[in-house]
Order: sequence, then structure tokens, then C-alpha cells
Amino acid sequence: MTESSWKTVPAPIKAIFDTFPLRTFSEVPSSTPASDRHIAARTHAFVGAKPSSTRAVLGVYGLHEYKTTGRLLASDPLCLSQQLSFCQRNGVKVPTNISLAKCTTQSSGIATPSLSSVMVLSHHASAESELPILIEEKQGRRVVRGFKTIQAFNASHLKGQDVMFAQLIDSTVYDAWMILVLFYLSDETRLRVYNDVTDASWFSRISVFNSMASLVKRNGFHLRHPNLAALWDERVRQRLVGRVTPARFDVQMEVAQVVEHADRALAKLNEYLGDKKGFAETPGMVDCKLAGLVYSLIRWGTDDFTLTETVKATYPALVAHCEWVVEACV
Amino acid sequence: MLELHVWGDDSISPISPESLASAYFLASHLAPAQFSIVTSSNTNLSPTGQLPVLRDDKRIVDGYTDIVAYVTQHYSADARIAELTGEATLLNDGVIAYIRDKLQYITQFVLYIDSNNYTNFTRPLFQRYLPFPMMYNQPLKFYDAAEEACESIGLKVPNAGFLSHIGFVGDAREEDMREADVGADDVALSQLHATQMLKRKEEKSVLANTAQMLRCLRFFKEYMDDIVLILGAEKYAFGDKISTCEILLYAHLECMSFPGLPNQAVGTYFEEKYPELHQRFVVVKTELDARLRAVVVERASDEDAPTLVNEVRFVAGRLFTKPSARNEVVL
Repeated sequence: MTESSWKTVPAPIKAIFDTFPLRTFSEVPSSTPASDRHIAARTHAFVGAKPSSTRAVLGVYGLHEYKTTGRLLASDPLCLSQQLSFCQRNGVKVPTNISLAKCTTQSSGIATPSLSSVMVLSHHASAESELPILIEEKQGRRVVRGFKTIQAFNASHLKGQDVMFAQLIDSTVYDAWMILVLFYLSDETRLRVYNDVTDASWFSRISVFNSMASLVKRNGFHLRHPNLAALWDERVRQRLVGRVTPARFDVQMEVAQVVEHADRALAKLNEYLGDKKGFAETPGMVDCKLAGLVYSLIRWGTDDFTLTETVKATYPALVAHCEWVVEACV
Repeated sequence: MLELHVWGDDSISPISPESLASAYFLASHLAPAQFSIVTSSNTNLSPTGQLPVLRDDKRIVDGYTDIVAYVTQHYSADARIAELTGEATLLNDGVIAYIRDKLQYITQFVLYIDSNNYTNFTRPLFQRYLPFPMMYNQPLKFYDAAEEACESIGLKVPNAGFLSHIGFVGDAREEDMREADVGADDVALSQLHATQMLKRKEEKSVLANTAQMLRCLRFFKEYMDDIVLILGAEKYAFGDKISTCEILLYAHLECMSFPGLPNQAVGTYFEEKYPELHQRFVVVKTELDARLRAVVVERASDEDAPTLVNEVRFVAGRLFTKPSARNEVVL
């Protein structure tokens, strides 16, 4: 007879633990044919990209068709600038609207995973919650470079005056784009640009809050305009709870200020460009930054956002410059 | 008459480079009789909650760039500021954007994140500018902004932990936590042991602060190298007069190397690493200070002073006006 004490495990419990695990299942594969197809449907290869062992994938918020050329441009200006700059640096053209999924079926099941491409992603794909990101795959190794790393890489290629021009575009002109997104765009357009969603159902509208909350923290907007960034949080609460705490500052005035600063900067950039093609003979980093922003302001600007009309009507050099850069990549 | 409201008491405060730059600009652009400087330190005077603010009869303008744009447009020049055209004007704006977006973080680090400077210099200044109990809130706001800004460029805040913003030096940092685990049960065996333990802790704290200051200096050098390239070797960057971007740059440099700061690392580094620019800075600063001395610096009137009564009035005013009258924007 065994002596029972608090140290011995009761027989029924011991029996259970001796029996389990009944069977060990093999691990669930992280990708299935369905998920591969889904990823391929969101991936568009750069035109002219050659299959190689090193592949770069640019992750962007959303894509839209450029005029009716069948070519796809990133909807967000910073992603677009990066896309254009990628094309310039690697000698490729922007992708067509035929995704890798369609390529695969058309060419009798041959997958083309080794081509550099643009992929539509959610901001959750990045550790910093901001796009664009650059995913580099080399011999099975995968490196994800976040937006801040991309920015540092871009900055390292700039020298002298270009540093200052790039800074002016990146802060002052970019802030006007943020004003357009936060204060003028409809939820439908916000969803198209930042969530790649075309149906603005009640359910998909919820994600607008999420993507905008991460957007105000991108590229230092919340540091330059803490009042406006905090206001967005306040407005989210207002929509959810229905109560408004009055802002301590004059919102309209601050919004008008940001737009005015951008207008002044754009006027000077327009004057500087004048008859010149661009900042360099072939489109460089500063050209891509400016073109990305000017293109987006014109493409997505609303009727009541005055800056869009001003750019179209009064800054012909900027419009011509923008077309020059984009056409060089299409 | 124009009224420039800035941070300060008897003189303009070194906590606000833009206040100083705006005063320098007005002193250079206008005649002393055309404007006065009011050291009100009251952010409620500004529609966007930031100083400096310029009050004209009709308009209120805030922020350095807007003040420059407004005064240049509406008041004739005294020909002591460079009139720029074409590429130079774009470059001038670029440098201002660069200073506001990059060099500004270094100033914030020096004034707020460096614990020695913050505890012994910056925070006590607010006691001179604001009455009880408002002097507690404002430095915390600036501290938080500085912390966020510095972390965005990778300058981690040393001793970031509970109550660090009020000068409490905790050991919440990761390395310290690791070390703390090892010696968590350390009990001082004697008076001598206790003194040694305290000394070791202080040494570690100094080391951490120094490491961050070195990182800060690396960023400072990176930014200054870019700016120096634009400024060139002459006394002034664009022609024979000072430009608005130089005024802002010198205001920032003055705040970073203000004589009262206990930790002068950035100031010393600037002097030794950029001796030519430092020489220019000293000469130009002497000129600007001379112009500023001719201007009347006043204390705020009862209406504009940052008193508790005025604050309550301001908040009540915002609460009880209708949204339509508040110029609210619906998102």
C-alpha cells in the first residue's frame, strides 16, 4: 500500500497527463495556395524588372491607375515619391494593372516571384505602423526596411542645396497634403487612398480612424503641428461618444496657416523651376519628392481645397515638372 | 503700434529661440519706435497657443516665419535684412525648414532632456515667468514635446522612468534594471559600503547622460555640417546683409550655448568644432544685441499677464461660446 501524501499526484490526474498528447500534429503552413493567390493579386511587378536572386518589394497603402494608361501609381504621395525614385534608380517603369496572380494564370502557371514589385499592404505590415516599406529578399533572407530607414537612405544621397530643398518639400509642402487628408477628404477617398478599399461600407469606415491615427504620426506631422494631431484624437472620440471638448486654439486659423506656408513654398519652387526641367538633368530624389506631392495634391484635391486650384492655375512650372517626372517612369 | 509678445521677464527668455529670433528680426527690420517687446509669457494670447505672437491693430500673427512674412509685406524695410530673390529665397526657406525640423530637436534636448540643465536651469525659469500654480504645468508640456521630438530622431531620454520629468533620477532604464536584478538584495554592510554603492549609482547615471549627450553632439554635427555648407565662408550667407534663416540659426545657437546653462557641452563643442562660424556668430550676435538694446522691453499689462484669473476667463470663454463662433472645423 502506497503512502498517500500531498506530494503524490492523484491517480486519475496522473493517468490524464500520461495519456496526453494523444497525437502531435505537424505545424500549420504559414501560407496556403489561397493566401499565395491573395498576395499575388495585390502584387504588381515593375515593368522591365528582370528576374534575379535579389528582389525588392515596395509596400504601399494603395494603387490607382495613371490617366487611362493601365499603369499604376501609389496613391499616397510619400509612397509615390519612393516608387518614382525606385524606378529612376533601377531603370524600371511603374507596374501595369495586371497583378502577379493574373500573370501566373496567363503564362500557364509559371510564377514570377523573383521580380521586383509593388505590393499593396496595410500599415500594420510595418513595425512602425507607417508605409512605404521596402522588403528585400536575397537568397532566402528577408530584410524589411521601414520608412525611417528609407528616409535616412534617401537623405544620405542628398548634398548641399538639395538637402534644404528636400526638407522644405518634406515638411512644409507635405503638411498641406496632411491637411487635405485630415480636413477635406471624404471617408470614401480616405479609404481609397489609405486602405485600398473602394466600397465605403459602415464596417470599412471604422478602419479610417485606425489608419488616420497612425498617419498623423508619420513624417513628423504631429511634432510640427501637435495641436492638429491632438485634435484628430479628439474628433475620433467625438464621433464615438458624441461629445466635443472645445479646442484651446483656433483650428481654422492653424489649418489656413499650414496651407499658406505650403502655398508660399510652392510659389517659390515654381519660380525656381521656371523654364528648368527639374532640379537635375534626369529626375533625382528631390524631383521625385516634389512630383509625388504635386501629383497627389492635384489628383486627390477637393473643390473646396483651394491649394489644388492654385497649383493647377498659377504654378505651370510645377505641373510641367510633375508630368516630366511621372512620364519618365511610366 | 506693433507689439511682440514673447517668453521672458526682464529680458527675452532663452527657452524660446523663435521669440529671440523674432525680436532680432523686428529690431533689424523696423525702427525701434515702430514696435515694442512685451515679455508676457502667456500662450493664451496666441490663436494657436504658441509664442512669439505679433499683435497689430487688426491682425494677430504667430510663429517666426509668419511674423517675418507679415512684417516684410506690410512694413517698409530699414534695409538691414537681405532682400532675396530666386534661388536664394528658396534656399533661405529651406534652411528655416531644416532648422525647425532638425536643429530644433537639439535645442530641446539641451534645454529639457539633459537632466542637469532641465533641473537646475530651465524648470526654475518658469517660476519667474508664471505665477502659482501655473508654473508647474507649462514646463511639463514642453518636456513632453521635447521627449517625443528627441525620441523621433533616436535620441533616447536618459533615466526615462516614473517621475523623470520632474527631475527624479530613477533607474528604470533597461541596463539599470538588469544590474538592479543582480544587486537587488544588496544591503549596505557598513557606512563605507553604502557610500560606495551610492557613488557607483551616481557614476552610472553620469555615464548614461554622457552617452546621450555624445549622441546628441553627433546629430548636432550632422545638422550643422549641412547648414555650414549653405552659409559659406563670408560674414553673411546671401550678400552683404543678414538673412532670416541666419537670424533663426543664431537664435538657436544662442539658446544652446546660453551662459547660465550648467551643461555647456553643445556650446563648447560648437566653439571648438566650428571656430569660424563661432567667430561670425559672436560678431553678428553683438550687432543684433546692440539693435535690440534700443527697443523697449515691457512687462505684460494685467489683461495680458498669465494670471490664474485670466486663465479661468480664457477657458470659460472657450467653453461657453457656440461652436459656430469658435471657428470649429468639422472633420
